[in-house]
Amino acid sequence: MSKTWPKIALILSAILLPSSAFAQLERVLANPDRPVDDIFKAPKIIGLNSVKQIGKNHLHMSILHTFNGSVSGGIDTFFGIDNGANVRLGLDYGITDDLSVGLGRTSNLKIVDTRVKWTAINQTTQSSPVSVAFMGALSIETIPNRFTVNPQLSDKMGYFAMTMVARKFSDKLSLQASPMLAYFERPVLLPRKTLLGLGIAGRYKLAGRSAVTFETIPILNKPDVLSLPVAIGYDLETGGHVFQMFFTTSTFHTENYIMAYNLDPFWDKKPLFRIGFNVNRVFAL
Amino acid sequence: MKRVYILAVLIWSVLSSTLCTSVLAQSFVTDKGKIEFISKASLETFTGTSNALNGLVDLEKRTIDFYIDLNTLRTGIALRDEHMRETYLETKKYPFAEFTGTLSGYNPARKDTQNVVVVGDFTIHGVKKARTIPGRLFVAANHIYVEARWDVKLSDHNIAIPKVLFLKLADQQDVRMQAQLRRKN
Repeated sequence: MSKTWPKIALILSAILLPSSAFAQLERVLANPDRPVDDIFKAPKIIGLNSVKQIGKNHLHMSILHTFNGSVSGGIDTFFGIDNGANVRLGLDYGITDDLSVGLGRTSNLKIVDTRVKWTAINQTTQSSPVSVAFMGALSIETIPNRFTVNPQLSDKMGYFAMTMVARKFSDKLSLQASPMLAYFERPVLLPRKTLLGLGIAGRYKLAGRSAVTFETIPILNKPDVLSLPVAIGYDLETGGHVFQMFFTTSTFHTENYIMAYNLDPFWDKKPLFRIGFNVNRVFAL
Repeated sequence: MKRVYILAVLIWSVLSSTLCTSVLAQSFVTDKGKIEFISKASLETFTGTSNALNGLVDLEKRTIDFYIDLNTLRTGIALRDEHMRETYLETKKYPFAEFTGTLSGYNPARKDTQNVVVVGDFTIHGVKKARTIPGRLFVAANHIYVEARWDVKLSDHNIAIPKVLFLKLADQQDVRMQAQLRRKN
């Protein structure tokens, strides 16, 4: 008896299957190995660039502010807000989905910077475990009277190169490691022209539209005058906008100056960080 | 005895497959149908489209089956597409929208465009709803053309619109589909 049951089942399935197999289409993904979405919400995690691209023919406008005073100023400086802000206005344009160019202007030191970001590898759902992107940037300090002797244009220049390796580990957690090199033709504060850093950043999603972020850039050849750059932030996305609010040690918004002008630690018996916020907006052209 | 069973199964498989091909002459398929949704909120109107609608219409059995991989929808802004996939449609969990049902009002004798009605289940975001959707059908020699238009209320399918966004994303989405299906042999 027990031997005949499998046979009956086989015959029954042979009778039933051909007629029912065509009643519905098999559900198949159009592209099973598609790029992973939303590794980071914005092209910048806080001050550090992320692997996130702008998108082809999209214009990304960013307004980045960090108040110059630290929160240790207390109510007298309204937690640093009274002392003005270092603002970077930025425009970025996506030439392709994997290549973008950008232009920015920072109020402190009146820095104009340009950058190119290229994504070589996108993390995908099946074949690629990480996204890898490269960035190169050029900056000019246009502030007058920065040097005692009449400076040449080349004296005001800074060069920057970075590799970004990022992975979205789960729906909530994404991490990025970014080895970087900054070179200043004539640094003011620094005893050396080159700084090597290892940016480490992460994002943890809270609900569907908000996330907490952190970043730090340990400087491998750190001069004593500098402190470890650290920032923690909160992202909120609303349609085409991404708002970022954060606590940061540096008033600057580009990696090379975050490293080079980071004088205060995050906390030294009292909080020494600054309050900042970024507004990101994307336009499709 | 074992051989007899195997032989019987073999004969039946051959028979049933030939039977099916004769039935299949009345079934039509596509994987390039067009689907479009229009979101009209007070501050923002936008359209999402895809040309990867999969469909099967069987005029003999009077059944239809359509599905789309929601990852193929594009609204024109990459960031909005990403938000759509991640926060609203949750395509990682629910990659497909589908509509499966039975066709009524179809008259095989008619050679012009005719109005038909499909009664079936529409599923998106993992929530199934019984729907009756009117459409238009035109039968040509080796193709059929179908089009339909219906509304999808996001709240019916557990897709929550955050309060700060109600001006930018409509709860009621105007959905249109259009497809040319070829005869399946």
